Amino acid sequence: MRKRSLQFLFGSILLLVLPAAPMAQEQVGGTVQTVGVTTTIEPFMSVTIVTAESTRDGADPPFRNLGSSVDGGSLARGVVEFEALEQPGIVEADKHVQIIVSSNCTNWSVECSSTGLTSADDLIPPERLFVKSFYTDPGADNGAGPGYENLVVPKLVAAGSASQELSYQVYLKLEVTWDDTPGDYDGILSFTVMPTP
Amino acid sequence: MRRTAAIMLPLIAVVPLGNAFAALSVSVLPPILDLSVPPGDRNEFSLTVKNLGGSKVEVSPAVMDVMLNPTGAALPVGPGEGAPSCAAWVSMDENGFSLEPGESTVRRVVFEVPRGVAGGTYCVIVFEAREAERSTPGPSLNISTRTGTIIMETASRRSRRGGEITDVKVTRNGEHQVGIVASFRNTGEVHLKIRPSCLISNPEGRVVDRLDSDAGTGTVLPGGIREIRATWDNERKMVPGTYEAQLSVDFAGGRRVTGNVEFAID
Repeated sequence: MRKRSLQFLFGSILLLVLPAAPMAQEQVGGTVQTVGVTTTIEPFMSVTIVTAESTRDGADPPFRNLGSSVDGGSLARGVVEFEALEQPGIVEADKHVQIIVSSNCTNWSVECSSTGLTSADDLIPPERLFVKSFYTDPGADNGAGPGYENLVVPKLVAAGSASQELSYQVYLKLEVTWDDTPGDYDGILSFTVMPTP
Repeated sequence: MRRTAAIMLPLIAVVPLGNAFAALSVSVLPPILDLSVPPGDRNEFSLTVKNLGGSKVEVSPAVMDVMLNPTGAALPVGPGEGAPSCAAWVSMDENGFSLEPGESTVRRVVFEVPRGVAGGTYCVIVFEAREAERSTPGPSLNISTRTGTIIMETASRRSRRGGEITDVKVTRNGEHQVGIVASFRNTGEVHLKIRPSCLISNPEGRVVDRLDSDAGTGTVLPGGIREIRATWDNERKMVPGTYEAQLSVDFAGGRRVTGNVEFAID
């Protein structure tokens, strides 16, 4: 932090000095005029969430990329679907989620949470919804495969610091059982992006 | 009175996503408000919420308690589940609103500190955003983002400060990698910024190595616990024998607490 402040101070001094230098050369022997330059840089922090066609849990799926480029494939609205059209079991989401957080002023973290999915007369609790990310334990297996952790409690899926520009991928699965009543289920998947004081 | 944390940093971040993508993208500024409003006094400030995405969003504001987990990540939590709260001192319009792509809105917030309070109190003003229109009917998981502004209020600079190391342990992460993991608990009334350090000594008491210690930003809220990690992997110095790891935490202008753990290298 101290180093950054010094860098900024040095940058500010340059801003003040550079515009004045040519003027001093033009006015050799005359009155030296200085021009004050001030700037206000606002703190900035934003989160961008996109969904992209899933690679169907490839052998070595990407979790974290430098920069903020969006994955290839067809991008869709902020909706993830699970098509449990055959027999019950573990169902992969049709898309994965990409998280891009940008900040110039603070560290940050992203937690993923859900209250589950509900239909007209049934509920799929969050312990049957699973996420895999850069921060989930690769050795964990809650029944949906290695690296997938359930959402009984919010799970850290991304974290970074000011000036870092990273994007994170989050993969999702759902466990459907024989006891689940057939029908349409809806729910909300929340990504909570908070600055780290 | 009002101190906005780290406001004078160079603007580096760029979000190059334009409206071409149906991205859910929201920013709330400022991210952190570090306040010192005296008891009986009040402060007013503005929060700016902007839709940076390519589709209309519905936004729901809420004032919640906040906690920092042992890694330092902040989480909005229910009443009484987090650090000492100042959520009840916040007055703002909590009605939902919608934002078109590129549109922003400013929310005025009044922060009124009651008389007779002391120490540090904390809360977060959360803005939850969802797309206003869904593109596909049927069973699905709708995505929402929650981001907001953390308020850290210190009503009195004379608040009691204290901390302790509650646990120090050693983990083996490989033949030539020893992890030292400690937990620091804030026993005071106000948040602390901690600076950890770790020494490795031999049985004669001679320091054989100094380790970098990681505690993230180092902020610990009252009653909160922060995990501190250090790794010893200097193979050249790791000769067989017994050692002691001494993990120290400096905080609050010169105070220090220390925890020790012994281990052996075979």
